[in-house]
Amino acid sequence: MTDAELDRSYSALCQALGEVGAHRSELLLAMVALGLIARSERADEVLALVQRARERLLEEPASR
Amino acid sequence: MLPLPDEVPVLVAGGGPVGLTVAALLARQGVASLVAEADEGHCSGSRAICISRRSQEILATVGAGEALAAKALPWTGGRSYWRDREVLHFQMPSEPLQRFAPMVNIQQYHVEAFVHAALQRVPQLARVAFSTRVLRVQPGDDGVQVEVEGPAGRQQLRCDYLVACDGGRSTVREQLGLQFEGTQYEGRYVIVDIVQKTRRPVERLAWFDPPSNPGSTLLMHRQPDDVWRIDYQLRDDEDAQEALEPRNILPRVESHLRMIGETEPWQLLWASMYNAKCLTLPSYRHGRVLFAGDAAHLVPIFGVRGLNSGLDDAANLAWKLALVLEGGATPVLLDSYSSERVQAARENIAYGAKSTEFMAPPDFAFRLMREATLRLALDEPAVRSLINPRQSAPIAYTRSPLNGPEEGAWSSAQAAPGQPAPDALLRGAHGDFHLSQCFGTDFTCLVFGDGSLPRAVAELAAHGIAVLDIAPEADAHGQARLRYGLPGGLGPTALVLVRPDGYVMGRWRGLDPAPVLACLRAKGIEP
Repeated sequence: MTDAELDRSYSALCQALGEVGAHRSELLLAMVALGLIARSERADEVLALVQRARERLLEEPASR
Repeated sequence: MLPLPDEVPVLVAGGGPVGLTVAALLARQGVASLVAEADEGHCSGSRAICISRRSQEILATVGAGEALAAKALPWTGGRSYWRDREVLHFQMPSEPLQRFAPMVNIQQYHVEAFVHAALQRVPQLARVAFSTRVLRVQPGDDGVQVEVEGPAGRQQLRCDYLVACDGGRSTVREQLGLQFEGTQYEGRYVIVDIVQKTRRPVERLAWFDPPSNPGSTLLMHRQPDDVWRIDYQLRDDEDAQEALEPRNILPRVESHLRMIGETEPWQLLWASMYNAKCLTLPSYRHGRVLFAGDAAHLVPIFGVRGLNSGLDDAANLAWKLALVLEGGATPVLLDSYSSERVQAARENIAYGAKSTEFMAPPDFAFRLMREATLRLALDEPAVRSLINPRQSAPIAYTRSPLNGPEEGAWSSAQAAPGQPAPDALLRGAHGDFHLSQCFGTDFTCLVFGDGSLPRAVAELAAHGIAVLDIAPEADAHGQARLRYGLPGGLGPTALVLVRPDGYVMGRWRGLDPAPVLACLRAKGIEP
């Protein structure tokens, strides 16, 4: 994926989130994430990404 | 003080950097102009501070290049931080043989002073009247009648063309009843100049949610004279007037300077408020009135496309206006100024909007995705480009009515018609020089030959076209042939026609000058 394609996808996702509204944004993100996971070639890459994202959030102070 | 003339070929409304540059470029073409500036001198506060490579070329053309190079601070990249972690280190295209750095930082008032000084060297062709404001504009078929008010009172002035460079609150735009189209973003930034000694390298620095100012976004740029530009985003609930009070500015700045280890004493110089605007007129030509710079379009600050696109407007307009005034083209040529530069403004706005959506997220969705990007960027280099500020670059006029043909096969699209002509370091009889030094005033035919210059090609000069022979030995570094799409070795020959503003108009394999002349004739241009 080129930088320009990443940029376009990012903006489209932001746009879609704005349209479904904050209360359903988690659901939209979960649907997109699951769709991308299902298209991934290998589970170990997905598992590593999930693990890293989880760690990043757990190491942050919860109040922020 | 000399009285103002009753009549002038071109009146430039507004003596900011764009208006002054229009006048200076017109003077280079031998066209006289008067610049009417409402303020009594150059601007205060640093305002636009980042001058792109393309703008440095334009400023060099008008004779402000040396002063600029002596004063400005060059830079090639930047860093972004999330909290206290670096999440992006970007570099702009830069190489040792280049003529100019991709960007230099300098206060706008210095740029204005340098261009004004260049104008003062040609007093017969250009004059700047300070404390002189445009009051009324009456466009006609043969000229424009303008009422101005200066130190000596009100007077009428007639010009063949009026170029409106009178800024975001343009009087000329209002007089013609024209409206900007587009959108504004609500996120507000405070812009602060401070003076403080530092030894830090010159880079664009950005912090998201820094420990010094939790929740805020903050930008820093070094400028000459030991000046820092600091921009920071206000919270939605903060009052604009209050935010500009020194008692509110000082602690935020002090906290950040302490965090990054800048401990020298410092002083506040100037502060202002900003919100991102994506606005343009749908057309920059209204008969004999032409709009340029902020009077024509307002683009977001992020990506530094404001002044830089204004200078590109000036470069695009000046040669066309001069050619029309001298009878080398009909006024229809001026429509291409509008179509090319409106397209450029729309592209600049699209890039600027993307940067703004990251720097000042307009809603929860952009905020959420930014939070995700900044965290993910620590581990995933692939997402870091989303943090990149997308700095100003010259816009290609891919759909321009002026674009001529592209005949034959080329190994690079970098110099296709409508593209900014690539630069190259060349070897001349009197030492090395850059190709871009030859642009700025005339049409230029670049000749990529394999032997002596054919006579028929040399005779293009008799048609008002400068001929530049780029023999293989002159192209010692091979940059010109590579960038213009002619693979190395003997054999490949070509002619490339470059417009006075340094854009490629057409290119042809072989050395036959006839299609070059036919191309100009087809566009109604006689240089």
